[in-house]
Amino acid sequence: MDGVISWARQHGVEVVLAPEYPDQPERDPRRDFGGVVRGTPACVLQPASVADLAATLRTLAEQRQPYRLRGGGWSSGGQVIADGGAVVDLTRLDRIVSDRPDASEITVEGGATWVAVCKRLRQTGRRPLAVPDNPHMTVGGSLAIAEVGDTGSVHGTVISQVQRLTLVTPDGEIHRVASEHALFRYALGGAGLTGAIAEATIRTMVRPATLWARTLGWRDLPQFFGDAQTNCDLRLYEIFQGMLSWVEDAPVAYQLAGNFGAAHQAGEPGLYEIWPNAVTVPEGRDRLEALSAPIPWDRMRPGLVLRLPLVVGVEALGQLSDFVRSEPVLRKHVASVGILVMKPDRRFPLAPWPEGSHLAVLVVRPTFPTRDQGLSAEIVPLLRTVAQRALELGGRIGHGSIDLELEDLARLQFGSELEELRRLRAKTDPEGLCNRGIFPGLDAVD
Amino acid sequence: MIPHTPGWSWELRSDAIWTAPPEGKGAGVIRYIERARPLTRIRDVVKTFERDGRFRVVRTSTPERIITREGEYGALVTVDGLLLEAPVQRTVATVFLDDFYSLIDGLALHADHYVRVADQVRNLALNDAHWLSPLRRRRFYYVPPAGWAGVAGLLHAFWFPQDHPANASKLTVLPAFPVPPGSPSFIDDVAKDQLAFGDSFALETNSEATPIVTAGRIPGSQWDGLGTAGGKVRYRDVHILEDGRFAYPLILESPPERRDENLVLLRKVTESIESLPQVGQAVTQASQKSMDYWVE
Repeated sequence: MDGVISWARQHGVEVVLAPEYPDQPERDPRRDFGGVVRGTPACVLQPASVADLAATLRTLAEQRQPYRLRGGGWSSGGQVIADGGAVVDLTRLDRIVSDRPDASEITVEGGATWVAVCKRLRQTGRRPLAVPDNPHMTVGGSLAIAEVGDTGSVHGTVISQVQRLTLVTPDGEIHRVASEHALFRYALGGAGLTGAIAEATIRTMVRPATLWARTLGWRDLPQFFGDAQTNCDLRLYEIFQGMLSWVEDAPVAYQLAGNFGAAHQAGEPGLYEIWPNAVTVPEGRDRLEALSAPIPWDRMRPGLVLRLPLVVGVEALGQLSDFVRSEPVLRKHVASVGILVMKPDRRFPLAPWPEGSHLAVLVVRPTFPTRDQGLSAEIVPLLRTVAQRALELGGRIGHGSIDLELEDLARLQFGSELEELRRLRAKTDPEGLCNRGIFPGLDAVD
Repeated sequence: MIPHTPGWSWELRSDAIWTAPPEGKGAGVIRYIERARPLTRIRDVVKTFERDGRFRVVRTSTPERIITREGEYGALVTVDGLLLEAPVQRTVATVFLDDFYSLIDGLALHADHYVRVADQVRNLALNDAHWLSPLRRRRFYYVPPAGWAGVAGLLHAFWFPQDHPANASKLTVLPAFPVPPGSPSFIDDVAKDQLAFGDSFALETNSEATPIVTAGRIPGSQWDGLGTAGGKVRYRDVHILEDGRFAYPLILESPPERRDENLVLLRKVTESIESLPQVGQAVTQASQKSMDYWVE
């Protein structure tokens, strides 16, 4: 690694070494948001331009040094931690490259956060089609894991809104690609396995800042899933996301359902098409303001994101509900399970899509009061059991989820696309240096 | 009332009927409102769609005129739009009745279903039945005087020149009257009545009927009268056509200095009159005119 460090210093790329690593959890490269996996990288490289990023990756390839790409560090399973290797920190690539309201698009660097993008777009009354629920994520990071957006029910994951990409492949080449290019399709949702997303051009839309939404509740889970599918198909509510909770041990599905608008629209079409058991009055709220508040890192919430075929959604949610209620540790720490129903975008073969026209996204994020009382040895195996069961039901696991310790995870996640991924990777990263080890079974070194 | 299409769902709501193809609303859905008021141009109907903040109009086709199986007039347009940013197509038909219109609003959510939903909307519109007697006072088609502005009454239309009221000219288009069988003097009686109609006009002299026939072979007669209105000299010219079922009256009032030019306009309007359609009649290519003035 000395050669890399020396090169970085000579070429003006910021490099941070272990003694200088900050202790604040949100900046500490030895951990991620999950806090479960820990490791000390040999160095952290912080390129501040696309050219510097390309040179950095080229140098790492020449020096044959494995590394992990890191954005905001919001992963739950140590995906951004490189114990003994290098971390390429992309957060200094955070510029708004260009904003074109007339073309309904904005181009930003991969290290920009969605909060920054949304604040810029707000100046012209716009927003991206979809924004991660955690807008403090970087654009590049959320695109790499095909994060579910807040409007996922109608707009899918955040990758569906991308028009063009600047991708730096592990051989240090800069590729400016659009949808017809294989690198475009394999980078979005590709967990950084084909390189670093340096810039992204994102589709935008004119929308008022206020979300007029109400909470809908269902005791009948089959009815809920039917209604959620109806919302996808008929595009009734652009925000339609919520959680499963328990009332006297009986599962109840809640959804926040609403549309952006200057005022609440009387006679909203959604209430004619779906049949919840409970409906609250609509309230207007500034969505960006609501989401921009800092998320406390001290609450370690390693997440497990399950993406299941909708046809098994009722069964899976029922099983998950029973499992959570039957395990005291889960019962104590899992107060709710996030739910969203959406359609897959099969242009992107590496994103975790199960079979079927619709999928149910279930998110389990146990709560813990402080980071030191963390994820205990007792809860991780339970979450792995949940993940295993989801895989057996034909599901996929969200790329940023907890470490599942599955030796054949690459095969389970990528299925028939695995060989094409290996072929692409062999071209630009024959030694599998970039994000090595994230998906066991992907590279020969695994 | 639209007919029920076998296999399509049929959902009766408080304000409309919703019908969807057998595979569900995900393919498309058609909304039917039997009586919408007030009468509205179809392009203004389309504008109201954007009151739903989810929908944005991208392109609206030129309105197409249709005639229902009952012989009622209607219009049909195709609207390409975005529903929460996803491209969709709406096919919208209206059937114009006396003081209301029916609305058939088809939404296709995927390009695969655009043609199918459009065809279904057209089919439903052509078969939209209201069981109003075909023989009643009805609006009819004509080309309005160029440059004049219209004001709608219940079934009447009033047209005024741009420089009104300085120019006191006015064209009144009455609704078509059903002609009672066995009444050969009917249109003459209507014309005589109209020549002297109204408290504000005092008829002093009038001509006898002069026969006319339009290029569309609709016969009729024309009359002229001279009188006063508000103490000023006014001409009143009546053109009335009769096709065996309906009489189509037009009344023009002109100050003396404007009468000659107004008569040219009146003849053009008279020439443009179309007979009201028969039950089962289809719209002809030749009558695919702008629908701008309809329900003025």
